[in-house]
This record gives sequence, structure tokens and C-alpha cells, in this order.
Amino acid sequence: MVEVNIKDKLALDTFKPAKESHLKLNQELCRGCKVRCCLFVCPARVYTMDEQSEIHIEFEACLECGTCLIACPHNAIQWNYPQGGFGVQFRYG
Amino acid sequence: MRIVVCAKQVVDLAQIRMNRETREPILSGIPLIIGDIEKNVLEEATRIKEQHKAEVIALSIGWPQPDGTILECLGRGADRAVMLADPIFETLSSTGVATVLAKAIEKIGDYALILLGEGSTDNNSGQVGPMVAQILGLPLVSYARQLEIVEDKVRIVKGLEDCFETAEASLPVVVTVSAEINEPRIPTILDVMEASSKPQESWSLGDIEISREELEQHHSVKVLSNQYPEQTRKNILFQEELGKSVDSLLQNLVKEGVLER
Amino acid sequence: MTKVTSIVVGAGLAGLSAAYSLARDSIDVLVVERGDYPGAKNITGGRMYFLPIRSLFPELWDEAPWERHIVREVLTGVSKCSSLSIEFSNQKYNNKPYHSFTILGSRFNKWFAQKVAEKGARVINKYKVDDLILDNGKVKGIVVGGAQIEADVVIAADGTMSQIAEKAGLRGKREPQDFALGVKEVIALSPQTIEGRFRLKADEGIAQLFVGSLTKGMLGAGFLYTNRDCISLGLVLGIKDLTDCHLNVMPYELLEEFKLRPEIVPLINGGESVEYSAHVLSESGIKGMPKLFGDGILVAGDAAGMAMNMGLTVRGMEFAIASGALAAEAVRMAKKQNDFSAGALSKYQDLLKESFVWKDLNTFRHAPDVLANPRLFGEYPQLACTMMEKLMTVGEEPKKKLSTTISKELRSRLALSLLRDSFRFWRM
Repeated sequence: MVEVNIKDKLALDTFKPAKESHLKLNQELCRGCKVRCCLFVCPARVYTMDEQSEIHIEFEACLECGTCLIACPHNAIQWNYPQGGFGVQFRYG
Repeated sequence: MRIVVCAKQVVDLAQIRMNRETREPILSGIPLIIGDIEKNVLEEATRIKEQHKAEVIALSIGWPQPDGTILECLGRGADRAVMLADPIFETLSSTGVATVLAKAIEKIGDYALILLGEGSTDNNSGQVGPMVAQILGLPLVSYARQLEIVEDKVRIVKGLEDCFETAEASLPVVVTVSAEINEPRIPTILDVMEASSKPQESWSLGDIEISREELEQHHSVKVLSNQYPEQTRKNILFQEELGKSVDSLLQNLVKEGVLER
Repeated sequence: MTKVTSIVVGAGLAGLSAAYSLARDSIDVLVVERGDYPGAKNITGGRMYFLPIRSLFPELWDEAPWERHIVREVLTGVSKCSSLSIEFSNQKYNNKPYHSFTILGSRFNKWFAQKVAEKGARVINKYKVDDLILDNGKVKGIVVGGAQIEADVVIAADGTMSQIAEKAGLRGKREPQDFALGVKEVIALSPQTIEGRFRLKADEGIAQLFVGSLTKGMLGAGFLYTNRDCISLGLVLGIKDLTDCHLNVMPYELLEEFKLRPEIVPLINGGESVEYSAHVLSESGIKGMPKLFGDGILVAGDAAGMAMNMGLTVRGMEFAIASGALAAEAVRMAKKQNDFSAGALSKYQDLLKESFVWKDLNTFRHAPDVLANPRLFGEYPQLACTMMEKLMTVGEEPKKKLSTTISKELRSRLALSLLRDSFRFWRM
């Protein structure tokens, strides 16, 4: 498998991060989750896990694709679009 | 009381990409938006309006036509707007811009307070405000981080490098504001909808009695280059075991003169 | 309270098409878009089939910012180290009216929105519709950051992840098997380079579809479209497989592997990656559609699930434009009667049923089941490549008869499935 630095890919895009996250997790459901597919389905690697097995969200890098919401088997993600005028802004699309 | 707000249209800096070969910014196709500091200026004007009886007039000059910036000003509380659009503005230096603004402000007339940003979001020369004051023969207070109208005076707290200075000046006065002065509100969608029905005027150079020849004198500043610094990376990978890698890294940093023994 | 006749949520193809049609009929319309500019949140694969929508806005198309018209279609099956391509070109594709075009969502919608504004519609960017004003289940308007705007009708054109259709109670939960994730990179190359590498004349383009080992057995495909001055290269991956698969690969790693394939490298060599994007797309066709109308609300385009992989053609953009225009037509009729109830707005569905949108989606309603077949993405491309290798390669051993080679390959356990799958594909 090739190694990709996702940060380099995301650096190609324009992001206007809002102050507050548009994605929220129900950590209680996450703790009981065995699959944790949010960690590998997200094309921007927004979800990461720390040493305590807690899931973290880096919402600033979100491409607003919707995959995590559809993939999460426990409905643990409170998914929203960012506030108007914020988030990723595509130039080519 | 009449407040004139000067607002500059700038390229959206967040959208700028660099040409890897020439190291120059790629400006084509980048959206034009209102500058960030202008949002503080309008917020301050609106705040004054809420406390005193005041009319806020937005003034913007630019090319292409700064209609988005004008709409944004109206959405952010300006009562009416004046716009000047001419290809000559694209290459005008600060003195030229100040000359045009001053002429337009004179034509608007009856002004008590002229507000500008301390420096534009793109060029940030910080010259236009002081020059407008000079041309109009008005007092200037710059870098305002607090502004209060007390009867026929403004009382302003200026942020200097290591201290604050409180200044007072009689109206009419030119004030340039810094970003610390307030936290601009995000206008509601209703404000934006209302904006398009507020009065807007479009003036030509003829309307402010200024000739093209006169302005051409102000093409005095030539941009010789506009490049980002060359970055050379050595891309050295230390792949020994951790302790050794750290040692080698340190040695290399010392060798490069980044760290001193 | 501020009141308008109609509100369109989202300035994508469906929303702008609806707004353009409404404004053309002098119906008061407000478009609310959450991006910095129309198209800022749009991602296209890239290709729009032109003929079905040509008659809708004939005055617009000549000046539209098309990237390139497609003159050649390539289908490539890939295995680990080989690939087999079928190339189809047609002289007719070189003649006007062109059959299909590549577009880039941001460029196209920026232009389209300008046309909409010129017709008299109001397009407001940078505002997200947070909620609907609901009164006993009837949609009465929108809520934007606490401000309310009333409207006779709201057209939800807010994309595949439509929250407006959800808030109006028109759609339920989305299931992983009904959606795919598209990841795409835009790679800048000069028009001359593109034309040279792909053997194209100015304005001509190609569309290429890849199936096989590049998705590691997951339901999905790769795509390549040529634009004016860049190439759109990407992968579509079924979300169910993506979550099930314990391959532990990230979508962007698969994309990177795709980029490094020998079929791709020479095509993008020297190009500069200028954008990376991703979005989900609906894969379930007509079965995954939400309810299309309610009291005071209509749903159009991707928000209505009007996108589909039909095997050899991937459809969506022309559905968006047509459904937007039909939603506008339904609004026009409702306004005449001054009746915006679900009953009156159900005319939208009638209009859709008479249109190519519904007919195509209905004809291909079984396609998702047929295409959700792992053999299509794994064994068959592999089989094709292996067979070609045996037919083409001359080794040290004497070469076998062609018929022996072919029948030996087909006598494998795959033969029966191949027969069955071909039949299903045929009927699709």
C-alpha cells in the first residue's frame, strides 16, 4: 500500500473553518463500538483515535461528503453542514 | 451626523494559490470580496448609529466593479452607498486612491466622521487613511481600538506598540480602526435581502471632477516582483532507532547553524 | 415577516435550473446557497448528457462553460498487472448537438447562477438553511440563522445529503448499501498536453471508466474525464463494502494507488494536483428516492436521489436540471390556482413520470442489484485480463490453439456465474 499524507492532499483545497464543530460524536456509543469504521471510511481522515481509544474529530478538514453519517452503524454522529460561508470551498468541483 | 465608511474590495486571500515555477500568486478566477478590516469598520459605524442619530454611507472604488463589496456594506448596516468603478483603479497607488476617495467624500459632503481600516487586507500600506485626512485638511486619529463620540468630539484609544494612548479630536475627523476595536456581527439573511433595495449610486471620474491625466500621475509605484520566498528543504530522513535519530538530528541542526552548541 | 413566493435551497444544478425557470416565468424566487459562491460545495464526476436537456433552456447552452464534448468512451478492466480496454468512438459525437460534455461543478454553477440572477432571481450565498417553518406538517418557509422567511413553496435542492427533505419528513435514514463515496483529484495540465496525450482536437474530450482490482474487490469503479485545462481522476466506492471490508485501506490511499497505475501515470505525468474532493452519491436509483412533494415543498435533483449508475453510463446531472425545471413548472401551476398543498404539488411527480428522468430511472431500477455483484469488480476483469495474456503471450512452450485457451479459461468455476451474470446484465 502506498503511503499518502492526507494533509498534503487537503492542502490543495480552500478551507474556511468555523469556530465550532459541525460534527459531534456521542462518545458513549463510540466507546461501545467495535467497528469504528469512521476511522477508515473518511476521505479526509477527520476521525482519529488516541491512546485511550477515544475518537477525536478534526472538523476543520471535513470535505462535507456525508460518508461518516451513512457508515456509522450506531448513529453516533450528529452530522450537519458547517455554518454558511464556512467549511471547504471548491474551486473546480 | 453623517459617517462615511471607505471599503476596499480585495481578492479572497484564502483562495489564492501559488505558481510553483514563478513563485507568484495566481490571481485569475479568485473571488473578490470585502476586506476583513472593513467588517470592523462597518461594525463600528453601525454601533455608533445605534447610539447616536447617524447616517452611514459606504464608499468603495475598484475594478472590476465592487458591487459585491457595496452589497456587503449595505447588509452590514450602511444606509446607502456610492461606488466608483474604473479600470484605472486597478493600478492606482495609495496617493491616487486617497485622491479619488477625498474627492468623492467632498461630493458626498456634510461628513462628520470618516472611517477606514488601518490598512487594507491585501496591500496593507496603511497610507490611504492619513492621506485622505491630509487632502481634506482634517485631523486624523489612526489605529483606533476604542471609539466614542462625546458631543462634537471623538475620544479614541489607540493601540501603540507597548502602550495605549487616548486621543480626542473635534469632528469632522478621519479615523482608521484596527481589528481589535470590535467583533463584527454576521448580518442576518434578512439584512442581506434588504441590502439590495437600499439606495446605491454609481459615479464616474467626471462626477467627482477628476481627470484621467491627473490620476495617471499616481501610477508611481511599480511592482518589481511579488513572489513567495524560495523554500529549499533537505528532506533528510533519520531512520535509526529513536535515541540515535535524535542525536543525528541534533548534530545536523547544529551543523546547519539552526542550533548552537 | 418577510415573505416570498418561492425559495430554492441550494444553488446546484437542480436548484439553479428551478430558479431559472421560475424567474423566467416572473415568479418571485429566492435562492439560498451555503457556499461562498454557487458551486463552492458542488462536486461533479464529470459528464452531463446533453440531449435530454437540450430543449429546456436553448438560449443558455451556447454560452455555457462546457469543458469538452466527449468524442471517445473507454472502458478498462484492470487486474493487478494488466489491463484490457474497449474503446468506442463515434463520428456522430463530433457533430452538434454534442452528445455529452464534461463540466466542473464550481465553474459551471458560478456561470449558471449569474444567468439566474440576470433573469431576476435573488441568489444569496454564504447562508445555510438551518430549518423549515412547519405548521402542522405543512412547510411555510425557512429558518436561516434564527431569521425566518415565509414562502408559499420551498424547493429542496440541497444535494444527496439533503437535510431539508429530512426535516420535512420526506426521507428516512440512509443505508450504506444505497450510497457510494466518490473521491476525486483534479490535475492541471495545459490544453495542448491533454489534446496530445489523449489524441484529441480542441474542445474534444474523453471519458474513461475503470473496473477491477483497483477497488480491491469492493463495489466501485475508477473514472477519468478530460476537462479544458485539467483532468478529473477519481474513484467511486460503495459505502457498504468500504465499511465491511477489513482491508484497512483509506479511500485516498486507493486513489493514490490508482494514480500510480501504469495506465494512468503517463496520462497525468507533469500535471499538478490542484484540488482534492469527496462526496457521497446515491446508488439505489428509483428505490432510494424520498417522497418528492409535500405541503409547500418539492424535492429535486440529488436531494431526491435522482442519480444512478446504469452500468456503462453514470447519470445525474441531466436529471438534476430536468427535475429542477419540472419542479418549477409544478410551482407555476400551483401558483395559478394559488394552491400549494401536497395535492396541487403532486403534479410535479406526474410531470416527472412523463419525463426521461422517471422513465430512465424506472427502466434501470434493477441496475443497483445487478451491479452490486462482486464478480463484476473482481473476477471478471481478472478473467478478461488473464485470457488476453494467454492469447497474446508467446512463451517458451508451444502455443495452444485459441479455442483450447478460451475454453480452458471458461471451463473454470466462473463459467456458470458468467453466463448467469451476463443474462442479468442483458436484462438490466
